[in-house]
Amino acid sequence: MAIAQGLESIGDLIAANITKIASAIVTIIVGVIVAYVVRSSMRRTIGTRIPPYIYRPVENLVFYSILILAGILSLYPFGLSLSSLLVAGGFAGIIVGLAAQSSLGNIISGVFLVVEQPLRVGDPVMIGDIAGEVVDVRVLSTLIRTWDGYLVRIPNQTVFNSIITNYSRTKARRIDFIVGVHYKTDVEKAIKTIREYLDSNPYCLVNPSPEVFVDSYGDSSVTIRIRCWTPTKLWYPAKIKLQTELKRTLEENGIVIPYPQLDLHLKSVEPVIRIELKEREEKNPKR
Amino acid sequence: MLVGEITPGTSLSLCGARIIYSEDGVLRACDEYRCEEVYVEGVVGYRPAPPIHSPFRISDAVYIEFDKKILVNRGDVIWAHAPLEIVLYHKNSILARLAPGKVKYTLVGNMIEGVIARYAKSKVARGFPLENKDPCMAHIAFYIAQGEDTIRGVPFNAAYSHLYTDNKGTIFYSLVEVYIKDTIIESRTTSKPPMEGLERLKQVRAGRTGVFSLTAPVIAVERGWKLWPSLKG
Repeated sequence: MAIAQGLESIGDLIAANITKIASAIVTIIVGVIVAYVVRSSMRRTIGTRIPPYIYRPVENLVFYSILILAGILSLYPFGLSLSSLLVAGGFAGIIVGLAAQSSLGNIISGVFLVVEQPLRVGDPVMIGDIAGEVVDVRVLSTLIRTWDGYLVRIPNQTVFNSIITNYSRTKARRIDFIVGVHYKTDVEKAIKTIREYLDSNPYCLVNPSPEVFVDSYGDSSVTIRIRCWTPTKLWYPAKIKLQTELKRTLEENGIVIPYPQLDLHLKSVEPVIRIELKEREEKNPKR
Repeated sequence: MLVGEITPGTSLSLCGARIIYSEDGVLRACDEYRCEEVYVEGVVGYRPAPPIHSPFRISDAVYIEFDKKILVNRGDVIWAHAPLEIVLYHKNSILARLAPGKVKYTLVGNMIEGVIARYAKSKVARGFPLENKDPCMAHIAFYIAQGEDTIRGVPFNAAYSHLYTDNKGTIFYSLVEVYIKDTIIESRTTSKPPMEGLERLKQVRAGRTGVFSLTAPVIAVERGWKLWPSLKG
């Protein structure tokens, strides 16, 4: 009985406010359509002309602003003004804030990430121990595509509090590796050969200039350290190319990269001789 | 001559690049770094272009380092040589881009705000074009529009440059204006010919690296940037 009365009163309420509800729904639908149309036209016009790290946050800002505006406008027929919403929002904000601290933390961190821009869409980065390319910086999270192809979602708060290594912010990046040459190799010739190879290689920049020097004396080889700066965008192919071609270059110039070696020094050979003598005596007792 | 045509069944050696156009319509073009092969029909043209594509398309800039420092004053025009690349094309389609000889790049300016640029070393002269013994290099004129000081080289945006030719087939870049300011050296690539009597060379669509810039033909780098220490081997 009570349920039936309740339903009846809800029905009466809807019937009395059908125009307001309809106008609110229409406002929201129009808002959503406008938001999508604006986003679509933005993508066609400015989306291709400015870099994604600038475009994406602007697009999100415009898109969600239109949706929020449509939501606020849809409440006007019910007599709810922006000022009353702000007052109500103040109380609601405290309650929601307590309930959703981490989400708010992520949103605020997201804002700081957009403002400070320690990373941008397309940047190769390392966040904590996750390395990859930034796919998107969203309201709550940042998407990273790892180098082996996985999509990792990291909450913005975690990103903001992590150590971020951005590999694309400098114009050049250094390749640093070592090669061991045989102790009998003419080290100066080896360094000259490597240096000539680096000077003729388009991957290695003229300035900062490459460095080639004896780094240490290892167990089996003299260790030569090679440093070469490359344009940041070419770092990975350059590293592969240099390491592959350098071995061939060294071989062509008669410079040997040795295997690990172990020299054995025998202090005395006496025991062996004794055994042999004993064996001979056993075979020929009369002698 | 860096402008011409190649027909099926012929081959050509151009600034160290090798082009073979077989009777069966296979065009094979090789430079120091790679070979391109494409099936094509009819006459294929070749012409010079700013060297921003081959072997890597990483920068619109070219840095000309002078063999010696030169003292310049406002209003001076200094001449140097700048590299080119060869474009093979058929009608409006680019078939290959070839780098003449070895290519090097350099960082101009500091590590954060500097510019990666194609590197070339050149003699420099004041007031008149240098004698050009290498047909694979073009003449370039730098007009000192502001400031005075000794300079070691100039970076400029080659992608926005036009190419001009004289009646002997010598190639010229369009004029580059240089502004020497307190802390930076700025260059602006114009579309003006560096001297009178030159004809603008029709360029096959050059394309740019797409590097975002509000002032694209302008390159400004910190002055007095330090050469990084090197250990000569």
